[in-house]
Amino acid sequence: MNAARIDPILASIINRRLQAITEEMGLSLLMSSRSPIMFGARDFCTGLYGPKGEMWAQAEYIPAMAMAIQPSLFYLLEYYGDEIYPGDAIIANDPYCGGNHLNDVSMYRPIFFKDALVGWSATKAHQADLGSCIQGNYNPLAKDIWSEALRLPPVKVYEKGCFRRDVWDMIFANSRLPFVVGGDMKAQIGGCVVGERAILALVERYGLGRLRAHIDYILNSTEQQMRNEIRKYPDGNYEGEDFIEFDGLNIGKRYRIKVTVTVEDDEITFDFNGTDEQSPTYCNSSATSTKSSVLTGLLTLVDPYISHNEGVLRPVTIKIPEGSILNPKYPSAVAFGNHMADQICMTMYKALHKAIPDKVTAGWNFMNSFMYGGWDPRKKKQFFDLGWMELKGGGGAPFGVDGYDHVGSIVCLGGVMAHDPEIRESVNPDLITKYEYEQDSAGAGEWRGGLGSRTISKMEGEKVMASFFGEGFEKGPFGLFGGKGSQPNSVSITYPDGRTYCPGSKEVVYNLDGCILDSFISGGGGFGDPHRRPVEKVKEEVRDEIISIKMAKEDYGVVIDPDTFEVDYEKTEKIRSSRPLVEYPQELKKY
Amino acid sequence: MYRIGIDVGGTFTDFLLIDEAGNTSIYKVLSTPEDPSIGVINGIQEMADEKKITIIDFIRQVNIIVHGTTVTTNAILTERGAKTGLITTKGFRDVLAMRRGIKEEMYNNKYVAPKPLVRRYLTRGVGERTKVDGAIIADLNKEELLEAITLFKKEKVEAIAVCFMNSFANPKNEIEAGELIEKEMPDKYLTLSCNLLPQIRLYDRISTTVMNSYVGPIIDKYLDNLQHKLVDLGFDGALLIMQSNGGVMSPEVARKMAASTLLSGPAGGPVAGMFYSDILKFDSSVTVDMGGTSFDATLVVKRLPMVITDGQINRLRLALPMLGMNTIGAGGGSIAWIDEAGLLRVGPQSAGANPGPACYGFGGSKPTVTDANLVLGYLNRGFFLGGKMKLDQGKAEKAIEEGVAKPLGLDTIKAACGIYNIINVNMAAGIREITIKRGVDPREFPLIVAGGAGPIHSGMIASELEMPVIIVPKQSSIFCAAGMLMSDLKHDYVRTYQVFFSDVDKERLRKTFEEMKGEGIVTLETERISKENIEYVYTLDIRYTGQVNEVNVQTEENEVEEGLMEAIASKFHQRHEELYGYCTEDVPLELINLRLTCIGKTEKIQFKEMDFQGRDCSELIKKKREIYLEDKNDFSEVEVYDGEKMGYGHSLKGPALIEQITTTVLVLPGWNLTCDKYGNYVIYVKSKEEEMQKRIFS
Repeated sequence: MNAARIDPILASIINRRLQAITEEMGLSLLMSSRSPIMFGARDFCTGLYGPKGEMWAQAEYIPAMAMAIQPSLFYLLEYYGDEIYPGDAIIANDPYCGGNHLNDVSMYRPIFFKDALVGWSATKAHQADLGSCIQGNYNPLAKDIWSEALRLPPVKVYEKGCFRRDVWDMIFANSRLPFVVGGDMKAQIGGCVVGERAILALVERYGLGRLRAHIDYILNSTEQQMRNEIRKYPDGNYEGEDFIEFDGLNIGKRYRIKVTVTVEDDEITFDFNGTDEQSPTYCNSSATSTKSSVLTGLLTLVDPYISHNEGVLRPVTIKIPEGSILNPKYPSAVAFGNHMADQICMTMYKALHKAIPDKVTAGWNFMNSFMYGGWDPRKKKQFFDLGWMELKGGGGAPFGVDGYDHVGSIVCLGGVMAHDPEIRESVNPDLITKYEYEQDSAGAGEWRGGLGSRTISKMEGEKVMASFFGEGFEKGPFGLFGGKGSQPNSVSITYPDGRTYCPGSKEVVYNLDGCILDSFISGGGGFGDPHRRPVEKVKEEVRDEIISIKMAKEDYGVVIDPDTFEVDYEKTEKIRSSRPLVEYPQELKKY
Repeated sequence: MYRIGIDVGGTFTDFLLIDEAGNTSIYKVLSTPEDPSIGVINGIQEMADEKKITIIDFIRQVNIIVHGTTVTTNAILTERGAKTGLITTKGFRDVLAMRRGIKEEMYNNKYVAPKPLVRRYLTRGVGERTKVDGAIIADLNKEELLEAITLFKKEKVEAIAVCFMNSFANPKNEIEAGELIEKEMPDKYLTLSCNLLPQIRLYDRISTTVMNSYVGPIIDKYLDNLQHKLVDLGFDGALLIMQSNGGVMSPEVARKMAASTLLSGPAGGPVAGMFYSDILKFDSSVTVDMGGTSFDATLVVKRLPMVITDGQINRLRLALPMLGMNTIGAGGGSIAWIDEAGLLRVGPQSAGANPGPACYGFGGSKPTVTDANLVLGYLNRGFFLGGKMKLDQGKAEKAIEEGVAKPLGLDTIKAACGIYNIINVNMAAGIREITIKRGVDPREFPLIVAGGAGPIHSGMIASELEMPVIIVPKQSSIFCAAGMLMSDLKHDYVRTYQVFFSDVDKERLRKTFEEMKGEGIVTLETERISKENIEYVYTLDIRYTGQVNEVNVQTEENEVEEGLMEAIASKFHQRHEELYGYCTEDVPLELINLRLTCIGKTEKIQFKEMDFQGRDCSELIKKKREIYLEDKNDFSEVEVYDGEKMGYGHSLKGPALIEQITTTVLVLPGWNLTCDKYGNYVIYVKSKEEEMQKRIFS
């Protein structure tokens, strides 16, 4: 049989199956893991790749991490050459070997059919602890990669089906939570095995040659689709910039992120020339993190149903000056880099907002969370987690619908879950007293931003410490086309004796026993002039206490009686007609 | 005496009437959505008319009515439930709307989250607090609760849900709040989360409690109407309501557990599936129902319908045990289209009944699955619905030509074949979701196919999943109604006993199951089931130390009675390896929950067996027709049998077609078919001939 003869129908079938397999791999991790970061929040990704590392399909619960699975695979292919065998499992996390940051640990398993390398199944997950002086490995004062966590260039933990106990034990001699992290890495291997079994079933069914030919066809078709999407953008150069406000050390110093987007027919280039030099702290985005952030942002600006495989990557070029905050030199620290995706994506949105105003959104919430841990006196063991509820701010509003409420950062796109409050209290010694939308947190607009939220909790553990990590403490997300921005993030700590302390956006704080943590994360920016928002919608949201009577009047120009919740149409009309509406650009007027 | 199974659907209400001798008759009346009990009574009237007796004389001869209803489901789908107020712990007002911050279509910047069933201003937090270990650190603030009640009265709230933080660990505050609400608003529907679903996870519990209150007044009013009408007619038999977990319950329980009727309609499916697979002595099966727009798949494993607790209705979380039903947008009306990458896709959009497939000639121009089936020769354009409706082959060809063939550069036949294959793969994937994805291997299970459009596709679906046996019930239109008459009373119990395997107190294990058994026996006795008719299913939720999610492992009675922990452990390791790709035998195990399902066996209806008709049915060949066969890559002539006349013993070999008025059965090459003693079509791969003959005729 001629292997190269393509049946377009079979290609559709295989494409669908590949996607389903990555989801089955994800289910394995979700159901069998031990760290709340994984079972509770879904901070992991899975993927399938070709023998040369070409991306076939991914399950992207945290998109910015998903786009970072492939670069380490390229690295290890080069590194091992022919020394890849059936039954291997290879672990890697080093940003200088293709990784993004050290907490995100990849596991790769080659898939062999007889002697032929069919492809790779891989899982990548945020692991709870890999040593260094700060539990959880977010150390704002880290000066280099060695101060962050254990570096793992590609290392085989299984070779030819044999478990390498010595390597395994060496790795977990370097973790504060060997039982949890060890178990979760076993779960990562399990996820890879689930993928391997399913791919081999496909090979047996269709034959290797036929499978490969059809996957190539899928990648080529997706490439064409991606090129068609880019062709919809008007050609030109578009510039945007945003800032990182604080590197964790140098108060008052800020870092510019600048992008020039060039659209030329069916190709697109993101050039970060003009971005500031790298920081001396962990506030640097590794090249992998930066590329992965760009791809995440770009994929929100094309057909949301496009398959995520090698094809979408081909028409995209990303240039990042070496030594900049988005591509630091070895051996810089990079832990915070993942979260700079927020600014990278916002820079892209700002650059493109005039070219494709119906695709971008207004500004999204910036990160505001913490890694924390200590002793759980109820269970008599260490606990460690992340503030997942705290990081659920609002999405920016697009043209046509309101921003997504309580969704979290744009790098997660709502794939990562907040803990259930009862599960959080059961796995961590916390007492949550508030976890609600914050009134007036959404930027006003014809379409408002998504709502931000406030979480207040009492730390009831012992020797509790937290490494706060965030941005946007000075300036909130931006609005578009007359839409308003929203407030900055904030955190405060109240000690048992009543004193309070407001940590910076990046700071490690010890001695939190008995303290109350109050975190506010902003909503998203609004889109379009708020005076365009229908009065009835404003009235409804005042009734629902999502916006205040004051904001209704000041931002939306709608006057509402505080007792009856009825609209004073006369006064409303007067305010709304007192100034002309902010115009939309031509492209949006056609709707 | 008679029994009646009633399936109230959106368009039609289907009835199955069966007498003690097993004679069955089928009735169908138009549903009456404004008050579905009218349609029910109309159907019963029709039965009486046919017997030429009054409805009052007839209803006295009916001893059991089992009833599946979609009134609650429709209330959710159309957002027409009761105006509901929610009381929760102060500080947790938005847990319902937040949905843990999930955005299902991550890359879609314009994706909109589902609207919560309760408006925010009717969600009130009141002062009170229980910790996760059950300790109460703040008593209920009654003043704040009264304020909320005042608001609810003013706003004319019809139903109330109460769900407090950690009430699963100690329901005291919740119960107190309930008492006060009952006193102040005695005639309103009230649900307390601690009564409905006492288990950890606030979001799951709030969502389920709210859903219960939202549909509560609707089912309450409906059952009230129905019971009154039946009693007025003099009915003194038992009325039973189908519940989402595949069992039945009394109307009194249904009124309290309103949300457990949300899958009441289709819940008869797997039980019916069990009946048909039983005839051939299979204890597991996959049941599918393919209609015009959707395809439902359900699963029975070892005589138990698969029940899940992580389901959704209309994107809203429902954590009560319900059938693990997977519904996908695949049906005869599913539209074929080319995506932007140039790949062929089919569904989930459907042409529905209007304009319908292009070949209906109602103005539809988009190519659908039905059009492909016509072009490939599987459907007979002159015998659709027994000839009541003519199909237009030219329009079907044109739609496929324009919509699929030209853009892909294929000929019309190849394009039609593509549509047929893609929809089959989609449906197979729908089955995979509830089997392989949940760790069940369907390869030895029969595929039971209901719904008019199903039997043309079942052969390909079965091949795709390597399922060797297909059963097509003779009367698939009343499939769910039949299932209802075969359902048992079913009650689920759970106790948490969190302990390391090494520390299990065997006596406590035994006693806890004993205790649950006792509860089950008492409840079932009130439902007129005697002890010897109760069956028990024992399962344990187990995990490795440090994990949070458990694996549910089914055990034998003696294993829990005698505390055979090693045997149970090895079952767990094996299951974990199957599900998640690894097991770690050196890590200690933890027991979490003990679960017991008590099944009150009801007396099953007996269909009347047919006389043996002989094997040969060649005289039932109506004619021959050209159909497309993929393995030949071309059209071939096959024999078309008159299904209306086929009966017990009749056998044939594929490729062949069987035409009935409501359905067409395609038997693929390499498959044989034999009718069982009730006239159902049993289709199986050739290599299974000997085994299947034994199953059918022994």
